[in-house]
Amino acid sequence: MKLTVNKSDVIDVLAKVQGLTGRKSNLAITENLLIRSEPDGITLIATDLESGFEGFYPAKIEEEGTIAINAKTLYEIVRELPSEEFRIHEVENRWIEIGNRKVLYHIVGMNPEDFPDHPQVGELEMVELAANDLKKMIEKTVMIAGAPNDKRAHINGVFLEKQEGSKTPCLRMVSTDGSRLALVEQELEAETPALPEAGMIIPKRGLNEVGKFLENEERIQAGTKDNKFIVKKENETFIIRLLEGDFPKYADIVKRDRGHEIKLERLVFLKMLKRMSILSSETYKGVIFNFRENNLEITATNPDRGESKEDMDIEYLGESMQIAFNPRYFIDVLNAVEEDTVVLHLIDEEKPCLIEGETDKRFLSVIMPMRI
Amino acid sequence: MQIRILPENLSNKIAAGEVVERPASVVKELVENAIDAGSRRIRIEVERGGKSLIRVSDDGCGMEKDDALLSIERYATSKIADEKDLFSIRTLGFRGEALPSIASVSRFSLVTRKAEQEAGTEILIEGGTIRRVTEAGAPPGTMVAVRQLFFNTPARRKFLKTVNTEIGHIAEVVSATALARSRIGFKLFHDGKPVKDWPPVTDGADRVADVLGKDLRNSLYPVSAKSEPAAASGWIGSPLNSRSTSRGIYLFVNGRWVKDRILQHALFAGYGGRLMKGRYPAAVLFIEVPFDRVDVNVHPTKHEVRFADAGKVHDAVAEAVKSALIESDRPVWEPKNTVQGSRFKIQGSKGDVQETVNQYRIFSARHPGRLVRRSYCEDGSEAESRDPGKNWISPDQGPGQACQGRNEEPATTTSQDREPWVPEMAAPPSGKGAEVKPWQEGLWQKGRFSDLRVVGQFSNSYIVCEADRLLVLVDQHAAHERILYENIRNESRDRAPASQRLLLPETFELGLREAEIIANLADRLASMGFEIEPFGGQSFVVRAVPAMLMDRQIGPILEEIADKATQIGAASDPDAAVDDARKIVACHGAVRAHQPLSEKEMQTLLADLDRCEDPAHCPHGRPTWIEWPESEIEKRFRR
Repeated sequence: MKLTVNKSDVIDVLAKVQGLTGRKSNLAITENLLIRSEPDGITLIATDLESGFEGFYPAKIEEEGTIAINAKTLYEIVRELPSEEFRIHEVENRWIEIGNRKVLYHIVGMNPEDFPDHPQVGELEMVELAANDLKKMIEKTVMIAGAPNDKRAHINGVFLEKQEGSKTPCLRMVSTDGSRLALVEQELEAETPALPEAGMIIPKRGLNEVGKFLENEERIQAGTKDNKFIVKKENETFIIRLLEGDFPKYADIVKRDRGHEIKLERLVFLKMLKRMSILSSETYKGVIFNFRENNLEITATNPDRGESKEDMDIEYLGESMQIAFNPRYFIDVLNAVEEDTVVLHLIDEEKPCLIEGETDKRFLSVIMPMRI
Repeated sequence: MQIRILPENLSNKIAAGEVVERPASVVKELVENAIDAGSRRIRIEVERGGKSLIRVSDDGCGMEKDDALLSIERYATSKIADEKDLFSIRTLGFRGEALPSIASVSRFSLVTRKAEQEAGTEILIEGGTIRRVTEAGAPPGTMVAVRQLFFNTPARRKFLKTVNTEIGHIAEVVSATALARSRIGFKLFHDGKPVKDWPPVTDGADRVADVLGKDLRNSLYPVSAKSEPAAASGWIGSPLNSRSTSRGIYLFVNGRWVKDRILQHALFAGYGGRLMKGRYPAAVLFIEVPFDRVDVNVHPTKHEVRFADAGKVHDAVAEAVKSALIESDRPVWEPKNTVQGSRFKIQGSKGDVQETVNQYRIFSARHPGRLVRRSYCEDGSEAESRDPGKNWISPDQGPGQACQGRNEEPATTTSQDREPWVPEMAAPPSGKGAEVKPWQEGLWQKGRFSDLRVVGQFSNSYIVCEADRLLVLVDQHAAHERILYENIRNESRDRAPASQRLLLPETFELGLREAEIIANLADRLASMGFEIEPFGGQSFVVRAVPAMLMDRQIGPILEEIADKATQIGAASDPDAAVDDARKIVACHGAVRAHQPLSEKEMQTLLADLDRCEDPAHCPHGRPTWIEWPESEIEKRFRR
């Protein structure tokens, strides 16, 4: 293989695949990037065995070939190269020369034959979305992550389903870690045969990697085939193996029509919670929300460190309520809401609390109280 | 059939059956006699595992001819005179059975001379019959030779084990005796070759190291506690020097070597979670119980004892061991470059020695056994050291305020002005370490993990730390486990713990027995933050979990708790089951190995560790930290 590439064409993708190649898998070769020459460019392939990435980039080909080279090393070399153009040349068997006239590296590659097979997408029905919309959906759901070693699909993955029928068709993503939940919706322009009605569970880790590739204003396509979730950009494709399992019935949890509705200024509330969580530790995670007539007082007590309290005016005329929460959960939600005012739906100290923006009902969070 | 009184010869043989079980019992009786005779050096010679010859020679007081003859009569003893004495037995022997019993089953010779007499006495006995009594030349003291043990009781002889087994038992008896009598020198020869040679020492810890292994010398923690009804003293080994058998455990009650289950259990209870499963500590414990509160006359070999207040003795011993470990089994190191130049003036036998606080404390880390006691300040520093929150000798202490008058020079093993340690039979329990005055407690400072400088993380599993001339590795999982465990323990003691309600209650199913146990434990688990309800059959639903477990998969944890509770029999010991549950929760809640930590997280972990009662071990007994002194590293680099 002998070819010339422009640094600006590949530097972004080299950085982004590090999330895949940097993950430990039981195959050493997954730390490598597969580079394959095409008539008018190169194809880059990376995988962590659960998710796979394939992208096509322009290059001037002199000799054809395929190499597997350590993705981190390649990225570090290219990042620091002083010139725009550089050459990748397999001098002899797996002895790869990288550089230009002044800078020269020789890197030992691995056998490209050992690289895991990358599934071919082929023809399938896909739904078209704005990249930015999908990116936001992903960001708001993957922030709720379970323990890395948790094997349960509904904790490990995000539930993706299509809502069609009476109202406007939309895509819905739901994510939970067992004690909180996030739900994000995105309208579709029309009903689509792509994506199955029943929904699917996509690993959060893989979605997180997809999120990195979704930028700017371009359009992307999403679909599913052979137990895989596929996201396609013009020259890049992401394939994630779906998780097997059932997602819990969550419809009851996300019903809004109960309890008190309390409006709060997002930033004021957020800053207050940040102050109140200073004293929390792994053993004393909870803070207590005291809802009283037109007033919310939050107190935090940590026998190891001390205690704190703060109150703010709110519009609330119901009975006094005392509910314990993990403030971290609220902080995560308030950071993700994009509006100035949030609405809490509260029932009592045992039932879940719903939070959403005042006008945008497409993002809803549910937080379970603590028991103190 | 006619009833008749047994001839004495025969009754002696019967008694021999109880007292003289094997050659080791002969050695024990003879050595105890030698000790009771006030000997300074005792020499034990054995041939063919004691089957051919056992000879014990001492330099004790010796006997006159009449006494010598009397000593081989049954129930003849110098050790007790009336019934009152029987209930306050202070000597080792007392039944007056040993010599006649031994003499009745062997070819026995006794040579003895009082120092002030010109000639000694020699008595020869065969199978209980006196063959000859003559005057003989002999060194002062007594020498008893027992040849051909059981020559006239072939059935007994057949039950003797191999030479190696028998000499093993003899060595154990001699070891135990030597441990309790460090001021007496012991020599043991087998088939003419020296096997053990323990010179008299003044520091009992030296004898412990001689007998149990030199590696223990620097990791022996002194035990010293006085309480009713039992006082305990002696040494216990660091949990790091634990062994795979219980053979490093020597327990003594009023100076008598015993194998008592209650005391052994107390020892383990004292170690608590510091030992790994299946590991045994090295320990030499002298338990002093008022003579009228213990019955040593349970069995002729006196291995068993009976306490009037067994439960209290157990608790007192466990507490003594526990407090010794809390006191000593802690890291001791210097923070790098923080304390410098405060000077102690140390008066030692070799003249005054000046050492910095640093040097002294490093030293103290290596030799905890030497430092329990006798250090006093004659000036105003007591107010400072009383402050419990302060763990270091203040760097501000100028030379003028420094402590003076340490009456031993620490670098020497034995210094003449140290009070020699002896478990004196006659003296009341000494409990030496307890003499430290309350205000001195802060003086022997313990190392704090938060004083370590965090260098980084190794393998995303161990926190690499640096103290002065010391490299310390802290196992993040073990350390965090310990912190969480103590948190949960204290929490459920003081207040209801916080728990996180689950949005999606989790169900899990158990086996029949496990289900029953969990159902019974549900209330106690609730006090740990679990909200578990039966869900029909053997299924349960979890509605809330301890806050620290909130992002863990809860089913497997509860299965583990149920399994463990079934194993130990939760019905009989619910407290133990709950404690195990705490350990399991702590284990699952703790950070894992291979989990990267930020520097702040590592520092918080170390600071939290300082608040633990036992920061040195995880709840399962594994150590939380290990260390390498710079000197050792230099050695490996051949510097």
